[in-house]
Amino acid sequence: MVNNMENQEPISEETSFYNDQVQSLNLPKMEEVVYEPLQTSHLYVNLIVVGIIFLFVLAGVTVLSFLVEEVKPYFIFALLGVLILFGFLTLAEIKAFKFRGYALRSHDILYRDGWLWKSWMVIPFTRIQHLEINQGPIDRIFDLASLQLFTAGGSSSDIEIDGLTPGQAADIKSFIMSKNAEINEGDVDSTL
Amino acid sequence: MKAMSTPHFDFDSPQRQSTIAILLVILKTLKVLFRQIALPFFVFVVMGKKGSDYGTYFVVFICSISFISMVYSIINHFRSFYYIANNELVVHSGILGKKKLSIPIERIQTINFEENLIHKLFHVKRLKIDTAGSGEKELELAAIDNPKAEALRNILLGNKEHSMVFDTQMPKREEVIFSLDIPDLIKAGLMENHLRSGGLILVFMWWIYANLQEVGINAEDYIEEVEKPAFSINLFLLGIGFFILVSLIISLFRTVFKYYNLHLSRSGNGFKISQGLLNSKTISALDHKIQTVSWSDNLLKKVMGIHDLKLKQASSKTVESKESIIVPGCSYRHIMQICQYVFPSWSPDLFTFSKVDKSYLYRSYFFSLILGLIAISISFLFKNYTAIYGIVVLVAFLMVMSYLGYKKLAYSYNTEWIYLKGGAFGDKHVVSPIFKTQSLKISQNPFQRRKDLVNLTLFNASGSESIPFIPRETALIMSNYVLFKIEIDKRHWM
Repeated sequence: MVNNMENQEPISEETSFYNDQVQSLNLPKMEEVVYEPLQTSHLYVNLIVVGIIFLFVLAGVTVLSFLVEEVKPYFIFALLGVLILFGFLTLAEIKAFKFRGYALRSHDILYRDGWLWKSWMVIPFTRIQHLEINQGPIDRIFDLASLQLFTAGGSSSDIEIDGLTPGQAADIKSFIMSKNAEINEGDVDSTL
Repeated sequence: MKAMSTPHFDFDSPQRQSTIAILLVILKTLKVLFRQIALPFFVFVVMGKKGSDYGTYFVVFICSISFISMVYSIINHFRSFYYIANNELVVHSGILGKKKLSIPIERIQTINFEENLIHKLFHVKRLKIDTAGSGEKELELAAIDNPKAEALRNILLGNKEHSMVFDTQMPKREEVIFSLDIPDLIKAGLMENHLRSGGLILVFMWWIYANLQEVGINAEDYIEEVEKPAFSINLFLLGIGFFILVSLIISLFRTVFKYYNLHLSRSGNGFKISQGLLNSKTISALDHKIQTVSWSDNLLKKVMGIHDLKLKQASSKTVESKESIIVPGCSYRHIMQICQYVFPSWSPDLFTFSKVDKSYLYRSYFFSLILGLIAISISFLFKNYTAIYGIVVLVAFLMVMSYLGYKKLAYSYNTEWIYLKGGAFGDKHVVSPIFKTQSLKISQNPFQRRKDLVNLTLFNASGSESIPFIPRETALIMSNYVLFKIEIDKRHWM
């Protein structure tokens, strides 16, 4: 596909010093990366959480229909509704897990997620403000950890990768930090 | 405003805030207290309703909490001081737990001064300092004497060339590039979005209503007492006329109060804007901290040829207008002049625009119709057939707005900038340098899958811009290019 970058006019004199034009076809392509999947135990944890919520809702519906006389005739419908909803949630969780993954390139990190609503995020290493490895109590049982990457672009531009092993998380973190140190070695021109 | 010659202050040694800060603490406590108990007081005392014990306890509770917090703040005032050491602004505070907050000067994003009536009376200023990113540090000093504040600002702003000797003696040269006089201000006020002011009235009325209910007065009981006038078209039109008039007056007042004596000036490599009648405030923004420049108008402003200009700065709080410089009533010439300062090599002629896919419009139509259908079904359910006319008009309005919005939505980028156009009845322009992008996101919903369309969102340190419904191929080409530009660019994004 030929894009509008190629037939762009050379821009005015003042801007010419920015003008490091590159044939966009030769640029690294984010669509060509291979995403690395997350730990399968991460899927189990998520399914267990869905299951626990399911049990609570089920118990709530059951208790309600035995206590309140008016609700009783609709019990079967409510049960069916709850079953369909949680069946859907389970399916969504499995489907999303299959898609979920991260990829490291030499200058940025990519993360994709979702099933019906899919998303792909990219953060260049130089734009990462700080990294955080978190491990909750459930994570500890399953030997999992999550890595959070913060940017200055606000919370919706941050990436959180759940379902890594603590070792993986630490490796990614040190990889990014060493890359950033490498990049920062060159002198930085702070003027616009 | 003239830059006054600033006497030398020694910020290396600990400095305390002005004693006026104590007065401010007391006033603030009273204000909070007033807000909390004014309504119950009004209800119990003025309207002669018998206060329950519950109510009395509530008032006593609130008062004691306020008093304790006031005393705490006052003691805190004597325990806190600030100084500059090793290129860091350090603030010590705290009574029980000692707190030390240090902000490296080069990480300071914005330095804002605000004054309300009290500040003006006693010649002090409130200082607010904000940094972007990881630490999310913010700092506020409630009252600093004017000359001291000016000196401090010069030090903090002056440190941009990294190792520089502070020279508080030399006043910065300031050049006013835009100011609003009273007729301009009135013009801008009249051209405001009156629907918003109208909305504010409704919110305010709702707030009173909800608060009255909270203290046990059911407003509806009183409404019943008022004799219901027969509904007539004249009364309806009168009501609308009154509503418009009040909205107009409110937006006029809002504009005048907020932007009174507005001066946008250029000093060094940054902007400074001061404005406000009762609460005047000054916002500073250095060129390299500005992430996006945008300008917009509405139908009325378009006719008059004026725009609102917005210079968005990097800020730790996500996307808050507080940290932006907003200049109402700008002409196109002024906008181009300001753009020349911020983005010297930018020009509107450098861009060829692309449109988003037509299904973006169809989706908006679809949602408008669905919304209309739901509303109509509800009015059938309640047998309120007259409401249907209103709903039809509203849906038609939404559809016209969607159409205009789609027509105006366009995006473009070149080697240096991303430039988006949008708006419905008015126009909106957003310009942002590519290298200031922090991260990007491509997303696809089930409705976009068939035509393989995606939304592309570019995040920068002052917010985000989205390009909806573009072919995935196009989004990927643009993303790859943006990433390439960010990654080879060595300039700081702030």
